[in-house]
Amino acid sequence: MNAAAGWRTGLKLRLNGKPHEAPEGTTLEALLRELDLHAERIAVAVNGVVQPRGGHPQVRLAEGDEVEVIHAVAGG
Amino acid sequence: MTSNNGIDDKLTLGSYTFSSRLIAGTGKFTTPEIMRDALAASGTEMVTVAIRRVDLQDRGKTSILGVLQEGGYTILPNTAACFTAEDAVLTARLAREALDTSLVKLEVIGDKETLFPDTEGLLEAARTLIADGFTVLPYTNDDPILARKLQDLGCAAVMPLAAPIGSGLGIRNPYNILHILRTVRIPVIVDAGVGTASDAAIAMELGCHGVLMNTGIAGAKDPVRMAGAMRRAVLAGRDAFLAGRIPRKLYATASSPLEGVVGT
Repeated sequence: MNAAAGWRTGLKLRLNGKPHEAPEGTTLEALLRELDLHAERIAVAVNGVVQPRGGHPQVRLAEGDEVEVIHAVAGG
Repeated sequence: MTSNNGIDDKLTLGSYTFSSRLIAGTGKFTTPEIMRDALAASGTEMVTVAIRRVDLQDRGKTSILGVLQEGGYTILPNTAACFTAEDAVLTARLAREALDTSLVKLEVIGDKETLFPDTEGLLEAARTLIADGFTVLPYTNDDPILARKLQDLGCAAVMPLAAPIGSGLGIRNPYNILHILRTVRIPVIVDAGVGTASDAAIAMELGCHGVLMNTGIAGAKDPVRMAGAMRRAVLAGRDAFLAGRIPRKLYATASSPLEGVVGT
């Protein structure tokens, strides 16, 4: 994916419990952009640690990272 | 929503203050419109939401937050369906990041069938989250000792279940609720089990500071009408508690004068 942009493929992540492939060197911000997710009203944890939205551009994802993207839903 | 007699009677939870003593859940409504109208009819000022993974395959769903923000409600995220302290703590931290709130309705569930709390996990998660600056409102069982421990940890309230979540069985053990009220100084909010208006009124007549309900409203045939009934029941129960009920007696006491009765 994104071969045209000159990125090598092959960073294997777990995204919300499912396998997901991203280019090497992907940041959290880039991943969310690729998924068309806007940082407001969602929250992200990487390997069980919440990542404050202001820091997403600095978070570089690594092989095997477990990424959780959540939002609020109806519930009691 | 002030009390019936216009008395200034607020519910304080940590740094949050509410005029309504009814906290409503947002789950199980058949349409967003019914939810919106029922919440409005309930008079609630704080509503719960759950925290779940974004469905990356189906992005068409509209966010519930739009409707809730239009209503001006304080959002109370829960940690429903967390079975360990670790999961509940992570869920609370994610909720804080997503919703910009330190409030959390802390649930650590011990069993799928009853949804009763895992009390060990609850205490552990409460301790961690309070140290992390959260305003913790724990869903707990109707155990006064556990309520005291939760208070001592620094919880902003205790929220004992009246009956299992969604059961509609009402206040199964009013005496334990009374024990909790006599044991702790923080607000006591009945959370779970309220099935109809009288259940909410009984909770408030016992002296509880509030009631949290979801299925009792959302599952009624006419949720909007039931929400209004619940609003009035909470107000009536609160006023009856503040007014001070008469003692129960085994025998009659005449209400009319005993003197001057015709024929005597």
